[in-house]
Amino acid sequence: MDLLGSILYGFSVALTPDNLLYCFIGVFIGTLVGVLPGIGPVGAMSLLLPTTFHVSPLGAIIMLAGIYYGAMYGGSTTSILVNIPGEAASVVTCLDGYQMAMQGRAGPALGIAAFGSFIAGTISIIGLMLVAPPLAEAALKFGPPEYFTLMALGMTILIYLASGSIPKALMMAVLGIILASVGIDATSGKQRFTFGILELNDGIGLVPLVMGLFGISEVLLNLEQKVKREILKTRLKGLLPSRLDWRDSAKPIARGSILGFFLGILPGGGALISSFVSYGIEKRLSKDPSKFGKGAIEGVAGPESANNAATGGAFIPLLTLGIPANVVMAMLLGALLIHGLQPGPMLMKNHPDLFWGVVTSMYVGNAMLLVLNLPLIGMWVQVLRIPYRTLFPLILLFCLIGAYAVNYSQTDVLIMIIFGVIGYLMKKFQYEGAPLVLAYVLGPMLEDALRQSLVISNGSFAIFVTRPISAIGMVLAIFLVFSPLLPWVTKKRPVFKEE
Amino acid sequence: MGKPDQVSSLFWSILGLGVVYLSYRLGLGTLTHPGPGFLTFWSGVILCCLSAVVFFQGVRAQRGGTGVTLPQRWAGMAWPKSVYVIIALLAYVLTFTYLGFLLSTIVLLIFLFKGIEPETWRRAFLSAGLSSFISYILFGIWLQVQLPRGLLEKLLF
Repeated sequence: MDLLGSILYGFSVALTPDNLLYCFIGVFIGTLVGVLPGIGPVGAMSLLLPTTFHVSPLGAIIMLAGIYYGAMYGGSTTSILVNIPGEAASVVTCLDGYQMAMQGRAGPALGIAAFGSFIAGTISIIGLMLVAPPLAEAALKFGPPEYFTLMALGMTILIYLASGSIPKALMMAVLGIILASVGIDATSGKQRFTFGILELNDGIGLVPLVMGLFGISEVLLNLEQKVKREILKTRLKGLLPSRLDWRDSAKPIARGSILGFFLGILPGGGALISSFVSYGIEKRLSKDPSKFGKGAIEGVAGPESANNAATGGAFIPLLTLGIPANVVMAMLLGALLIHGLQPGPMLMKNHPDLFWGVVTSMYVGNAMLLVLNLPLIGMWVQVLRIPYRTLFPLILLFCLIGAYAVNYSQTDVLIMIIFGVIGYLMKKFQYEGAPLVLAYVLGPMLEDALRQSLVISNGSFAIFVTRPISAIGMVLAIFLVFSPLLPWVTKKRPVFKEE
Repeated sequence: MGKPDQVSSLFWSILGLGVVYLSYRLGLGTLTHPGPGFLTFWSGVILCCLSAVVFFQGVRAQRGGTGVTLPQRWAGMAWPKSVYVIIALLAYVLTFTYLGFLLSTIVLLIFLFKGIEPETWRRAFLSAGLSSFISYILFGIWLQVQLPRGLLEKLLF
């Protein structure tokens, strides 16, 4: 099937009534969690994962993907109107978006964020369609050493960027690998770290782990803080940006789209990094950098486009190599595995309906989001008015039901609460959850690839440096791990909070 | 940095040592045929080494006067609320198969609506009841999640 044929086939799958409904549910919930602080896309995806067990794998992935890119749209609304990012990737939108709102230009700020996101989303989907097939073809030649190195590199990049302290982030990744090994070892059949608890034979579930670390712990932390949200009392008018707004935003949108797409592909990269880099570039390229932070529309258009483009890019390593680029993609990988699908180079060949259906559904979802975020903006503003004291019991309730629904197991709920407390303490002691979850998801694949590589090489670690792709990845990973020892790198290292 | 880092690194090093010991007992295998404890053994070793790095970073930060103490991390925070929520969630898990989803959820939500943040009794009861019934209809009936029926449902149905 040629590219055009594949795209048309994808649309024929994505436009069935069932898949349209799942897509709508996904982008609606995504926008909702993007608007509401306290639960991000990872939490929402883990929450809804058990409910997708009754749905076809394609419908499930379409819905979960919709939550991810929907949250990117929704996050901008709170950044612009409340100066609190609903989603981490919208942090940078606060800088100029809120200032625009203060100047009575909330409408154009929301409008350009939505249009920019739509254009960027579209460009990244086209990029995904063009890049994924040849990459999947090339990935067929990859062996266990290449996979091991790519996974190690992905984790290392996340560790390098995700935290202020590299040793702490590295510790969390190691802990993730240890947690992933709990249960019966597939190779030897031996029980590992189960301590005689029958429920642990299948390992620690992804859903309770993620819900605890990202859902429960977030509620506990928010309850402690006395933050009062004040929504800007401004009339929302003129959502369609003016001709001048478009002229100022066209290039930032184009640059943000391309930049976001490529940064999204990088393992460990993602929407957050893209939005920060885009803001930096726009400020540097601007004729008048002093207007940034005071309501420059370029400061909204660029980052909002970049964070949406990154969502499309992030699908490439997952769908072609089976390696998640970030924690959200790790959740999607978990969902694919639960539905009995193995992401990787063979996915496109064995399940073209899933690959092309998901890709084209993202285009449909982007169009839905435009409708949801412009004419219905008033509804989201009303959602913003829901006080946290009403929200947090509901978030906790959904977490409890979500954790229970996976296996109808009390132990899973208990595990979720335990990880909620661990996540709370981790944040108090400044350890991040993202490297842990990524390592947890990659752990079993990483162990298999390591074992197979050592068997192939007759016990020689040289196999990781004698094969070109593996060698490049290994050198990069080692450089990033030991880079804090080099003062000139430490000074320039960008630091981002977890996604 | 500072004392919290020293406390946390001690915890992680003890955990790392435990993992090393248990992995060794599982069997490391050989390089040509790694055993079930191979990767976790080395993970435990790395965890211990990194704990030592974080510990000494903490010591250095404290000597440099940039460290914070443990109580400072919780200073000005309404942390008892978090403790109450954790206790309530644990109580919920232990009782919800016996009491059933509806009853235990209503009780939990009344506590969360009224006990954690100031809310009127009427509103707390109304919100708890409505949320429980809607979630029961949504998950229990529509999505067919087998929620525990427990005491109340046995009496009613």
